[in-house]
Amino acid sequence: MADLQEEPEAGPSVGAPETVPGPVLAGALERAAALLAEHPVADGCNTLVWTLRQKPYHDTDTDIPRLLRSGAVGAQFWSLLTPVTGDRVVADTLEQIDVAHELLGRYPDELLVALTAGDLADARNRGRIASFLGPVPGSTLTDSLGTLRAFHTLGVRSLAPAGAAWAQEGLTPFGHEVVREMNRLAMVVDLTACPPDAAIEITESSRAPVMISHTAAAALTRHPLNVPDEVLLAVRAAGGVCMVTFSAEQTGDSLHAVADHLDHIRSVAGPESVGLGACFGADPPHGHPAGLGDPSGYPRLIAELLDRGWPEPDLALLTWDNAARVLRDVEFTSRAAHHRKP
Amino acid sequence: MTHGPAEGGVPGQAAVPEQPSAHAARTAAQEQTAARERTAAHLAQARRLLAEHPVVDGHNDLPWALRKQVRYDLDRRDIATDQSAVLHTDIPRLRAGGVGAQFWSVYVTAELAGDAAVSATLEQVDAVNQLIDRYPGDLVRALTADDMEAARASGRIASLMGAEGGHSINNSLATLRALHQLGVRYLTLTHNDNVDWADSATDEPRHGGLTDFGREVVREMNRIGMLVDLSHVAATTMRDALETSTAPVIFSHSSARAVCDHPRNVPDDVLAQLPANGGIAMATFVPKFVLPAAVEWTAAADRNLRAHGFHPLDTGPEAMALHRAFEADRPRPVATAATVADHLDHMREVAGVDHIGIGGDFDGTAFTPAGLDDVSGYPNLLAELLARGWSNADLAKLTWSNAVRVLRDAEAVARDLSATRGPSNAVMPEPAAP
Repeated sequence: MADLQEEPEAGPSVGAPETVPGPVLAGALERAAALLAEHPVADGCNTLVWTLRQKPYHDTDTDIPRLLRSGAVGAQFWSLLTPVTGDRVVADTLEQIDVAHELLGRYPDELLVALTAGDLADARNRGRIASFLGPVPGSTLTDSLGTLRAFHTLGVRSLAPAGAAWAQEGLTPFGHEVVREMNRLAMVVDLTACPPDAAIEITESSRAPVMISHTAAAALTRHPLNVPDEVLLAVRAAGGVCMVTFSAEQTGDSLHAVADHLDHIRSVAGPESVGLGACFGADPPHGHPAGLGDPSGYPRLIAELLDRGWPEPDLALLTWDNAARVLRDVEFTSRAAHHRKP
Repeated sequence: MTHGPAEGGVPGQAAVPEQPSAHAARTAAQEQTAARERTAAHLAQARRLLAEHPVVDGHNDLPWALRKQVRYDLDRRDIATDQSAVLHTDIPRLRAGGVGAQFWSVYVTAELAGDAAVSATLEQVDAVNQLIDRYPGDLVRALTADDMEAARASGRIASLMGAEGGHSINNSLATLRALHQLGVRYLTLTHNDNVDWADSATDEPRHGGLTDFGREVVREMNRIGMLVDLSHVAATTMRDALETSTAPVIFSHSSARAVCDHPRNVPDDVLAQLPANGGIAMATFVPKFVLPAAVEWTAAADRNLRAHGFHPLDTGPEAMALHRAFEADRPRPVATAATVADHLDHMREVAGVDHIGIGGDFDGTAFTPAGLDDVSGYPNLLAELLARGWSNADLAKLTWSNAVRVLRDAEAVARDLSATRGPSNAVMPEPAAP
């Protein structure tokens, strides 16, 4: 962790770039680093898989050294969403899964394909990044739960209903079936980009807690991907987690702005329902706020939150515990439901 | 099915009481008794043989039948009980037939394209998984040749899967790999229609065999250990695939074209290539492919179905009622176990005894040969072959060991190839402007 202290903003004499805010309290960055060593980030969203498929040569913000060491990421959901629609979305999703396995399989010393909450603990104990596959797009399911079970067999552990015909204004009967089957299989429902009404209906109908893997507060920034407070309250009631993205568009272009969103979500959804879903892995110019341009930004953000008076237990909830709890609860629900037939 | 296979006539009707001399009549009766005893002995021998060397059947369409009949409501088709009224296949009859391994077809109709075909294939896979989970005492999932041997040793039916038609992968090699991951162990390159990269036997030639992408599909199948199935494909595609494949290929359900000239069967020059390739042709029982008279009859019957607005492959009750009405005017030529044995005799001669197998296509065909009416029929075929002088060793290869060897060899090729080659990233080229 020594190199963390050598970040430019830690040495004022070097002249830190103005856009990178330094911690106000002396030692906040050291405390953040210590905290992350204990409670690494379980991050809800990284889009590297899609990016890799677009360009074999790319300049991205995600690599293992930065994820694992600087950023102290301990778990990562690898998003398998695809902008492809229409008649190739299933095949394209299978390609995403294929590339993800190919990618994760290449670095067995650093990444561990995680299938259960137990794998989350194992990976952490062994110093590896627990890598969950998902979400896959809900539009892959038209009238078939067989496809959902195939995804599960292939290792996918989360699905985002946004954009699916069965989760538009609310849930169709088939949508309810999908949610029930996801509960049975222990797959996380990811409500990112769901219309608020559908999001609330799913949150309430799901027997397991839900996740919103990359979003921000609509109350602060109006953006189609941001969630209004009523969704936050529903997620709070369901014991889910709402993960804040590092996106200039959604949060505002500064580390402070991201911290503002975290403050807001913590106050509305509660400290037990807030998390991080940075959405690294895209190619520029997908703008991240200044200071949060790559995974090495996590310690800076935690330092900022320390400055704002977040107690350390709340920070542990934010980085790791909330996501881990959701995964555990999803599994618990699944075991309870497993007497049901497919 | 208590009678053995008939040689043209129907057993039990040969006794002619008003023969000139009592002596001759007695001789005829004795001969008939002797023939029946021989048949019974052959049948008993066949059953003993099958207990040791059960049948690996290359193709069974039970999953599609379950989808069509009851939309996978397995409660309504409990195959642990007798389903002979509605299906060719159930567990008691598989047991009676001496089946030790089954490639369950995860076929989907080529009327589905794009994602719809992929999703439907995933549903078919899901249905097979549910079947296996539902009958754990009789079926066991098998992904490798070792699994097949283990299943035989534990007295269960090794359940493998085969996809039928390149449309199931939607021009995507990653989808091909996903199917392999999900347990599918062969892909028939086409069904009755051409795909974008391969010609079918029963469609207008478009590519003249395999396209470059088609060859890449074959290479990738070799690399991951997915058997290349050449049933249904055009002869040009067969030859291209044999040229490209470094692993043994299979014909999951095709017979010999020299015996019955139908495009679904394998021409002699291709059969003759199997020894060099190491693959197998698994003879099918479908009367319209194996019996020349049935080919013509079927063409007429299909025209009749189409005229009434049915798909020729429809086996629903209305379509079958139409067939029955049609049969009243034109009796349906009936194939027998002997018809299939004629094919196997020829295939053994041309391809060799190490390169043949059995792929009944049960539940995938409206009609079946007499004596091979359903999955309990295999002993009748073996009895017929025994009567023709096939040795136990030959029959053991036919039923079990050839197919297991092919899967094992394909696994070895995949191990070799995947050590030096990563997943293929090839994509189907955009169709050129006409």
